[in-house]
Amino acid sequence: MLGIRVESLTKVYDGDVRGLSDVTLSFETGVLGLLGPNGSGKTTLMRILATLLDATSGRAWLDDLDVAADRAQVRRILGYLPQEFGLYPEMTCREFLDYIGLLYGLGGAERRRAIEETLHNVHIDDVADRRIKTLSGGMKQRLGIGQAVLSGPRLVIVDEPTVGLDPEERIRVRNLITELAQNRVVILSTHIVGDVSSAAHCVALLRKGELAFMGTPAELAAEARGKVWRARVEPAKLNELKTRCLISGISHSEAGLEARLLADDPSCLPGVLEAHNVEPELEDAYIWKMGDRTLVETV
Amino acid sequence: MAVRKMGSPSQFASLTVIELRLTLRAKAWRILTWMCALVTAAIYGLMALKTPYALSMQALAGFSVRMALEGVLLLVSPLLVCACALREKQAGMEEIVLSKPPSSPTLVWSRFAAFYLAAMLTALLCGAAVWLVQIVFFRPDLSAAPALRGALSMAMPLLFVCGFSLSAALYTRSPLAGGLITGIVLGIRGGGDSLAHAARLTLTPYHPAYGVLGLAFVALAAGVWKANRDRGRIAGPWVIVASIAVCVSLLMMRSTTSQWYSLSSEYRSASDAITASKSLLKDVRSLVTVSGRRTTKDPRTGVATLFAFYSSASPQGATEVATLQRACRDAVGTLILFVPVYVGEDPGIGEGLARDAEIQGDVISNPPPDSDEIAGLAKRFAVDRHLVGASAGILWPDGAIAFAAQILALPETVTGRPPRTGWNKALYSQGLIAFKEVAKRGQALADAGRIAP
Repeated sequence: MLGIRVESLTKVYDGDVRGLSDVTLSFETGVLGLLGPNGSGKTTLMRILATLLDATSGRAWLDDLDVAADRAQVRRILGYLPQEFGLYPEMTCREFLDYIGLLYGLGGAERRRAIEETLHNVHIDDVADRRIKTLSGGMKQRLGIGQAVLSGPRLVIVDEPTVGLDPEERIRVRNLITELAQNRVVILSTHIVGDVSSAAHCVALLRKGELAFMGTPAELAAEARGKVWRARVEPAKLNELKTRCLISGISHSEAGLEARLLADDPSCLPGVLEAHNVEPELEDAYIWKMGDRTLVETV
Repeated sequence: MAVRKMGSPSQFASLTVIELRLTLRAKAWRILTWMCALVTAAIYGLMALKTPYALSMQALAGFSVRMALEGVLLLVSPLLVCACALREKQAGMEEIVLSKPPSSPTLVWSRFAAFYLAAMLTALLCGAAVWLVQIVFFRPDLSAAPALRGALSMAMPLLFVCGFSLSAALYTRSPLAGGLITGIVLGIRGGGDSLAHAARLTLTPYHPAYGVLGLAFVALAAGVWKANRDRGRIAGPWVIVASIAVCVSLLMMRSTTSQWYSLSSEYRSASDAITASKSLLKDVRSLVTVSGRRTTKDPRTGVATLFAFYSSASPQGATEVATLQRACRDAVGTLILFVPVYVGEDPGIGEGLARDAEIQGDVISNPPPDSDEIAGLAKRFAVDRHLVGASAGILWPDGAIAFAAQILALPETVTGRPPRTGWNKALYSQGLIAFKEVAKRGQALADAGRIAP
């Protein structure tokens, strides 16, 4: 089978901290959005797939290659961009990609062609000969993605690629990931729901190391159907309301304070003056599936 | 899918070039390089001030470069190698690099090659700096070869220091390992007298052994890194390579020990031991040369033998010996057996000085003063332990000894700067006359000896 396959993957760190618990999933082509709050096991899963970490139990395959047993082969079909990364500041973008091309063992002419293509694809051809230390955060991020896709890998893993970027740059990076996923598997890890909703073909929701959901973004959104309410609430009772239900948004309108509630029946909640059922968005479903009130603040 | 050539020589070479470029772009490395070049040039200049009567300055260039690089480059390079060895960790690129396909040995060896080349480039730049000072201030000495040879003499010590530093950095995952290695090198330099000879990496006879040991460290680091990265046992082939290299290194040290130095804890060289026997001076071939061989000089009877001594304490003496040797050859040919003798602990330095001063043939290795007492051949000829310039002593055919005397009678005040080409010519002219006299007297003594053996 082509794509990725994970079976009963478990990772227990020192001190009996569980990073992953019995995660099983499979995915073929397109963008797989790994969604979950910080500490949910996204990075652990990605590092295992990138051959940087050993699983405690369970197995994972990339294009029928066992990640634990065939590390060298897996690395050849893999492009990886970690969450926190740096690049050699003294190198130019072109030199850096040349270095990465060499690490992949690309021959001279092929390497040059791959570099030019990558520079163009990640939209940094105009700064190709600038030192990396002079680039903006977004440009560095795009160069980081460039190094991950330079050799035309079957699987690309990008961990939180949009963190810290301004909205314009974030959209650019998101579009870039969508473009890249046309003929390969891209695993996009993020805790920003908007990134997944616009780029992912499939969503895997991780919660405390466990797989809480796997399906398309529409299927995830449908999980919250009938449970999302736009309600007018009494400002004085907002705090009490927060302790009784999930709130995915609060806004002020002419009518007063409005909240987007996640509940089976809002009529019995304190301070709710008026409520209308609305169509759920991915963010609502995410919060609903997580079922943790502290997540509201995160989102 | 792209065509991939993993671990091929071209991949290794290209990675080495990139690593080298990164290393040379590092600010710290550049600062070190310029600092080394300045210090080396300054030491060379100071040497000219200290020895204003030097007959040739190019003969001192290699010695200066070597001393300066031993004092600076060998101490600072571990710090830089350790810092650069972990550069991807410091830059936050570790996971990117480790998720790429090249084998750990390819990464480790290409990095090592880059550091070594960078260090050698620094050494060569220092040589170039000295040569520049030489051609600007000490004309007509123009030859660049001595300075270049001085720089190249760092090849083996740097192989050891770079290999040791890289493996220590990779093993400890800390650039602070460089401080430890610098401390070790400093300790070896400072506590040299109380250390076993084989533990002194700066002593020339042990250079190749330490070079191989450096490669063994790199092989071991490659194996350990591969094991860590691939969660396996330590990579067998690399452990075998490292083990073989260590064995070769130890064998080389052992052979060096028996070649130059006795196994006794007291300092006694092989030639020193031979000197103790009365037959020594009748068999010049039993002496050990600075290159570690037995001398090839023909111990012809019936001619006077002149021993010309120079030392690393006053390296300019090598030029005096070379001039005398030339005069001897031109004046009497083989009627006098001319034997240059280097007095010093490190025969490699004596060999370098001889080559730079253009001394021909074998040079005998004589140990340095032990506890302020002169030893070996130098003791037989009562050479002053504070050898200034060169001294010469004669062994007459009848076995009598003319004790050593200083070759150049130095004036109290010297003006101007070296090289003293005029003095050199004068020494040569006077040598021609003196050697003819010595040859004549030697012949007479030999004839007398034949009549009354």
